[in-house]
Amino acid sequence: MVDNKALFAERQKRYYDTIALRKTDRVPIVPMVDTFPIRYYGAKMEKAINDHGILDDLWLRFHEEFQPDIGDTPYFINGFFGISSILDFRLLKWAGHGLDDDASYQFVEDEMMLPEQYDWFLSDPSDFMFRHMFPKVYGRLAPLAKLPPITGSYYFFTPYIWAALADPDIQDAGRALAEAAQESMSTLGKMAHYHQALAEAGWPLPQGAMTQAPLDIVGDYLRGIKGMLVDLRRRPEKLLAACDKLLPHMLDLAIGNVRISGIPICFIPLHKCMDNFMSQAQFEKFYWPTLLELMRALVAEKISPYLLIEGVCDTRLPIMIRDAPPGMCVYHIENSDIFEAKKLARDKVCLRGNVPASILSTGTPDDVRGYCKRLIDEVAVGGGFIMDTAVNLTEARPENVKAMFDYTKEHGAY
Amino acid sequence: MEKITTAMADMLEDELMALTDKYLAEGKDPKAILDAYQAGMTEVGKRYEAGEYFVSELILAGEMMTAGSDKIKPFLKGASEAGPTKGRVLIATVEGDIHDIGKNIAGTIMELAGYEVRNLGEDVKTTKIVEEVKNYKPKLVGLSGLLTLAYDPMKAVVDQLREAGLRDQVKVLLGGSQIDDHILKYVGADVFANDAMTNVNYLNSLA
Repeated sequence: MVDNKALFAERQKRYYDTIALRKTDRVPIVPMVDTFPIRYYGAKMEKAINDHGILDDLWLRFHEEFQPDIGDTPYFINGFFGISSILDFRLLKWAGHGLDDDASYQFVEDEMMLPEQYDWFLSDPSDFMFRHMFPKVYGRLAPLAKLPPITGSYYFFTPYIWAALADPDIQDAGRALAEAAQESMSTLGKMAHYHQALAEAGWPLPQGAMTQAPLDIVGDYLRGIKGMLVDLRRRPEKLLAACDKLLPHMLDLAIGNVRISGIPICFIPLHKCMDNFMSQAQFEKFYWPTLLELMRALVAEKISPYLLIEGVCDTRLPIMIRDAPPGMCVYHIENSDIFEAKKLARDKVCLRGNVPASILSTGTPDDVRGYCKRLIDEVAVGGGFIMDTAVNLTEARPENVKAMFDYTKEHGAY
Repeated sequence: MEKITTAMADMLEDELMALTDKYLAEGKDPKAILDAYQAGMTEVGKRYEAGEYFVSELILAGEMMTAGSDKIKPFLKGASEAGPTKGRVLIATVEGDIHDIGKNIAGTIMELAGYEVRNLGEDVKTTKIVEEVKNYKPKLVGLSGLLTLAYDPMKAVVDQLREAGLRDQVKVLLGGSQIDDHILKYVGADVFANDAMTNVNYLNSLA
């Protein structure tokens, strides 16, 4: 009889040892699953994402069939659409909500903060969030834009604030928040239940928190990529001030979530540092300092930063590897040259990736085995490597996914 | 006019706008001012290719060009506002994919390089793209997609262009961060671009 507790401990040790650059028995395989189980098992996207029971079953089935080294959870984006529906979340589109009923979710990026609103954000980010961002990104919270500021109302002015809450539109936004609260409690309860089932089946979770680089918050959510990129020259002081302002909040977010989850690994997807977006000097001035400070502060709390380095960042990687706290970080390489990165990363950083989406989606199992062989021969050398996809498994051909798992397990032994 | 070209090339936005206002007020030839902008834009493209400039400068240059043109256009009067274009380009984000930013930046850069660009938007049906190729007769159709789900719709466009007998009349360019040689072959397109200047260079090479 298989002892799932022992399996859990064995997998967790292999994963944590790999991250810490310690010797392990073999290369762990931990793919970013995304919506693969929904397609692979023939479920309908819209139905699956609106029924946590279906999601849980599909995900557990995927684990049993493919036996990854670490578990995957649908409770990241796919499991939260119920809450997003109630509030009419505008930064995502998903099946049945702006997209066909069989489509995977897609992000929407826009200029949410105008240049002249930097000062508002910088002087009072919570007020900016509550009275500007929430009304912009949640359709049903639009009335919150009518609220008066509460900052400064320390004395006798609160009745004016309570009176503002009597506005029928604001009352409706309040009802939306109450509904979202109920839905969130229900969803998080189901999430805890799934994570328990996953652990009992022998799989630990890959990370326990998420945060972002301060400049990515500006580029992804506030100014949009175009706004952020022109601000590098038009208003560099404001941009830097915004990053400084965001830094402690991005850190608190990560530490708070690790305390809840108990898993000392924090996921940090990097979006706006690609080679051709900005110069190296700009990267070193605007992007890297606050991200590095965030990483160092996490490491001081014994939390491993797990960076998903999207796009091509070949010119950034030497600096990112040079400055990394040794034996604590995972760099997941998307389309950068992972083979070159390995030459610098030995004894410093655990690398993860990067079987290309193009091969997984349109190539043959032989193509996949060929790429995995190269990763094992050149990147797994000396440890500190996790086999993964470059992007995710969403559109991967099942026979290619099988080839990736089988090859890694057969040939990944140290 | 050299000052205009230099201000554009060096990203001196305030100086460029002030010079433009000054020259227009002094009654200088608006067409010559516009040509100086264009020369500045060419220099920006060169610096991008040399690795001195990045997407951030391309976007800023595009905004400066638009702001400058808006000032100059009322002065052009009878003169033709724009010279003959270097050719037509059709761009679209393929069916199923709603991402627009990369495609729109690429479109702007091709326009600034002197091409006439028709942008069909996002999540555009395959049949619609093929129909537009037939009617608009572009020299190049640019298919954009950020996600892996774009691979098959891109292939469908090329297949349908072939079936409609249009494949020989138009070059097909793919754009998107998950596009590589594998996908180029899979789709049967002519070229792929991971940055905005590759498009322009490829277009210029067709002339």
